[in-house]
Amino acid sequence: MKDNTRIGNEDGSVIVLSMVLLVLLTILGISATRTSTIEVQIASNERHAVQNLYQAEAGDHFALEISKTWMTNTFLTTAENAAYVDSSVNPSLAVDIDSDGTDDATIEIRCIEATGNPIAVLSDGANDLPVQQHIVPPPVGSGYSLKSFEVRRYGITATSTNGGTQIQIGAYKVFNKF
Amino acid sequence: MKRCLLLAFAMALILSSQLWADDTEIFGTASISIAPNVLIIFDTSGSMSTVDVPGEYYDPNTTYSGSYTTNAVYEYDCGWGCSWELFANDINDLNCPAVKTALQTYGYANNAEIKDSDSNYVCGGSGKTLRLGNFRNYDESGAGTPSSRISVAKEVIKQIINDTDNVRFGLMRFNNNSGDDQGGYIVQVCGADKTSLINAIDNFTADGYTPLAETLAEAGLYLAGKKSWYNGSGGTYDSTCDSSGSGCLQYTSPMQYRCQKNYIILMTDGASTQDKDSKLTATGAYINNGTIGDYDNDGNDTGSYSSDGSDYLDDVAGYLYENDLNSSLGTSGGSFERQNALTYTIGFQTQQQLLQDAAINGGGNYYTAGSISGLTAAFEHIMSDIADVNAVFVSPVVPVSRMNRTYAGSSLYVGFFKPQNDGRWAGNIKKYGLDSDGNIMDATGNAATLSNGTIKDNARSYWSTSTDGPDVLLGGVGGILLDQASRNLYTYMGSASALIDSTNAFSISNTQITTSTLDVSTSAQRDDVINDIHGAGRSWILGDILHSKPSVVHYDTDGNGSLDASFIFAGSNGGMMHCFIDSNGREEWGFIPPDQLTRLKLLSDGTTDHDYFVDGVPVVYETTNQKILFFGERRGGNNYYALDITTYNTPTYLYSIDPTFLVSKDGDGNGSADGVSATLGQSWSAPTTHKIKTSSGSDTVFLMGGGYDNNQDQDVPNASDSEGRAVFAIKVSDGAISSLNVNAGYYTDMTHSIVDVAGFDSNGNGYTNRVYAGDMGGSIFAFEDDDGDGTWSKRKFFSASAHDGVQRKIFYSPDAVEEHFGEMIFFGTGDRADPEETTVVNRIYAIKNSWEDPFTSTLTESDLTDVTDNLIVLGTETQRTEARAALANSKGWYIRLENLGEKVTSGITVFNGVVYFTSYTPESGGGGGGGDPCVLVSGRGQARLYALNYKTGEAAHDYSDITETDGEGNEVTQGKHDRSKVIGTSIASAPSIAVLEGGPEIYIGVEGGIAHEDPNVKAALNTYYWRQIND
Repeated sequence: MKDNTRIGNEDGSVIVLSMVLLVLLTILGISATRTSTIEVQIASNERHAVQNLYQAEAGDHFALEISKTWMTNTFLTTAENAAYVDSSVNPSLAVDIDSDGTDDATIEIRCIEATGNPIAVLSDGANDLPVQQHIVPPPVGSGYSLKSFEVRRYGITATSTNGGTQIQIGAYKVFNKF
Repeated sequence: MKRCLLLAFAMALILSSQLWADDTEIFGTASISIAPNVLIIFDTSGSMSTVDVPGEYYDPNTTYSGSYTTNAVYEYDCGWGCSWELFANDINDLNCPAVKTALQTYGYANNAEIKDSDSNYVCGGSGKTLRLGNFRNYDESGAGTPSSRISVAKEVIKQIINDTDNVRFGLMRFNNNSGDDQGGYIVQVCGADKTSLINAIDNFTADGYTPLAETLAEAGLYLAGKKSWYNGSGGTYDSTCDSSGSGCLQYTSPMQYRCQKNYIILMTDGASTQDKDSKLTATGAYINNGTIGDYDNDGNDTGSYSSDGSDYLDDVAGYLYENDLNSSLGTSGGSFERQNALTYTIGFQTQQQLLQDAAINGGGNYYTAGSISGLTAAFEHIMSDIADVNAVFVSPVVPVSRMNRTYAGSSLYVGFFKPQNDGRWAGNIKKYGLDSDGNIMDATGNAATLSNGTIKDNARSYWSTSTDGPDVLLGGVGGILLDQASRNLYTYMGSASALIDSTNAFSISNTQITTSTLDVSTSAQRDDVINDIHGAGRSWILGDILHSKPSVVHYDTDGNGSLDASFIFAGSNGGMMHCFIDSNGREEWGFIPPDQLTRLKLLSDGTTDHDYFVDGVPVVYETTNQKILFFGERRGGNNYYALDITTYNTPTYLYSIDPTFLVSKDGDGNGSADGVSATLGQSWSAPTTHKIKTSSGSDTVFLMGGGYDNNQDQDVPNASDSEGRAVFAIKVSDGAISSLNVNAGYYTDMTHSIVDVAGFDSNGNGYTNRVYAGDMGGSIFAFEDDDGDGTWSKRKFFSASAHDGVQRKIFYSPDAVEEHFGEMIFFGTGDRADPEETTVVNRIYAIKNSWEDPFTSTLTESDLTDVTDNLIVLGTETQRTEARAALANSKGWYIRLENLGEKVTSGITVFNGVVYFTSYTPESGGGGGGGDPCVLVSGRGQARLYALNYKTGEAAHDYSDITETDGEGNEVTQGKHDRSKVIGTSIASAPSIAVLEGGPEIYIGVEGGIAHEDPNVKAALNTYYWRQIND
């Protein structure tokens, strides 16, 4: 009979299996690390996005809050093409909302108008406003007299300083109809 | 039989007076003299023994040396800070003998009625404070043999008491010895006889400190009838009272009547000393448990004064002026509900900021004197300030800012009227400033009103050179008019449209104005009427501004593109439309409408009835190159007039609208004229400017109602009116009829006259497409031109009378807000022309209107929810749910005005979801007065301000102190009583809501002042969309 012992000899297989296992585990380990690094990066991105969103959002609210400072005579008298100006004709204003010493957002404001020609100094986003009449009767549900009052509409665009997230709100203010 | 006759006579009287009822009947017509209490605080401090006052009276034959020109005349001018300004170079230039003689004899003249150099110094004009240069030198130089201060003061005050009648003088001095340096005591009570007063003054000696604030506080306790702080039952200082508060003297208040005025004159030669008593700062220690402390918040207390002096004097003066010292006189909500005291101060041989502050806070004035004649002049001046008691009525207007034409500006213009016995009522327009918080400020920068809105007695309005307070007959454009040398008065005679054309001059020299023009018989009468209108020989010229209002228009007079001047247009019942110059208050011109020429003689006919002339509200249409003034006459006539006022000083006559205007027009386009049913009534409409569509394009129009039919003045009016049944629009440029002309000539639902119309643009395209109006029969008409083709659909939308047959008159057009279903309109009912009527229970309505929903029949109250009981707040849980459901399912809500005879007397304005309006409630119980002379002069009845949630009729603010609970027993802060609050007496003006740079404010004219309310709006801007532009 033939000698079949060679087949029964299992010397050396352990190492092969170990190697295979090692390779598998290494691949698994590496991929796990990679995944978690990406997860961290995703989380970081999300954090940035959310932070930017809130910074931009805060910029809008800040602009509403300080409306008395920007709603100057030029802004009130020029229905067409009025953009945010402070004392030195600035199209935009960087604001440090949380007062930590670094600016959080930049605000740009212009009148919402029926002929919304872009203003060169403003960002595309700030120029991208709905095409509507600037002065209109008080809107539905506002509870203001149609006889005595009118509203003027403004587009407020805030850009977060870090990531350039832009949030725009439409706001109106009630005035006497003279 | 006799009784029958008497009864018939009485009935006839009642009926005849009812026939001409108007809202003027509720205003008191008399000025009455009630002797005021004047308490003189005589400084008896040790320094008064100083011998440094010229004891000699001013001698006109002596020439005193000094910086003033001896024979020149000087006027005390408070234009820009007070100073003595040259009035005339030489006394011999004066052409008013009375004033000239006074100056020649005494060296001074207070309230001298003399015109200035422009008018060649003739008699007349506003009251001026004048001094001869020689007198000024005398008072400043201290010439002559010196006397002691106390002997001079004694002599002067004795003389004043001796010379003045109809004043209840009282006398007070400081407590004097070293142990009792606390405050002062009453030497003679107010009303003491002259001999006692003079004897008491003779016994004064100079000794002790100067506790100014303590003594003034003690004076207040006396006037209020409270317990003394320092004095015992013996009348003078008592250490037990001072230290423990027991055994203190109980004062009896000298106040007799609620409209009596109370004055304190504080004459002192020194600064405050020994004036720091702890009671001055103790909480709740003063009258009505009030606290003095730093009452005026000037932060100056206690200040740096030697010998324990303090700065509390101005705080005490402020307290005594701003608080009710005697709440037992005058009840809340009535006239003269507040009994206060005015403090005047005289610095004798001293100049002190504290004395000036005390006078400013105390509603009085501050004088200085350095001589016996100077002190006499100061006292006489104060005596001349003590005016008769009278009531004034006002309506405020805040015009647009000249700077940006968007915000309301920082000035407030107030139209005044004051009833007069002779039927020729006085009027005025005064201007005040508004600070960044909307507070009303006078020309000196001090607050012009007290917290309840009353104009301060010592407020100085713009244009005025001295304090004028709420007095109609002082300051304002009326005061300037008195001094004006000549007036430009125009009418329109039909031949030349330029009013400055000589044919249109309302003057003696214009031969076109004949006796028949003025409907008089002789040329002397013609001249008399013309001179009378110009103001010759009249002590007050400007007629009452009753239902008219000032309208302020800004001009670019130099054509450089920026607005540089403003002019004020207002109609008066003195016969004309006026144009005043805003910068100096002078009258630029006056225009007498041609239909009033024959009526002008009524002003001087000697009867006591009040005549109306240009009583309508003016409206101004403006474009960049044209301005048109348009106005009616209200009860004064039936016409409207349009003037071109593009150039302010060359007005041009444009057109007029007379009552037959619509008769020949074809409103329904059926090819035939609408006929006499389209006749207009009295020109009551306050038109508004709109752009509306026509069949061929668009027109700029004045939108107006048909006017008032005096059928409605009858006790029981005829079932329908014959005039004023129309709603129409005319082109502003030429007065031609535009596309809206609905009238009774073809629309038979229009049965009653219509005096006010509202229109607005509901879709924001710039063209008015919705119009609403209410009539005297209680119906609301609605019109719509949504498709912009110039044809208006119409509906009789609502009837306030249909459900019970009671006639509820609508005098003011509805207000409206935009809702998702269409618009919601708001209006009230009430007979403005008969405010004392009490049989009708009036309403305030809020009704939804949708033009898309099918309209089958006129709505009535049964389509609405009665929210009078406010169950949505005050009900049980179930009731609240039911009330909400009922509101949601009905066409709106209404409130029954539950006070007897209460009526809505102003238009409604909805602001920030709150419905604001004012109402009038007649005095209940007939108001006989029971020996109270004050009823002759006060306005009657109560004025209320309402603030309601526009969706539910709930209270919008917490206006009432009354505690209310809901059906479950829980306390509610905004219950039924919080819907309104009493803001004064008589008829208040409509709430004027002004969006100022600092935020919105509400101003309401009330008797004697301007109530100021905060609408409580949180956000300056509202947001209406949100979007993220990029990631």
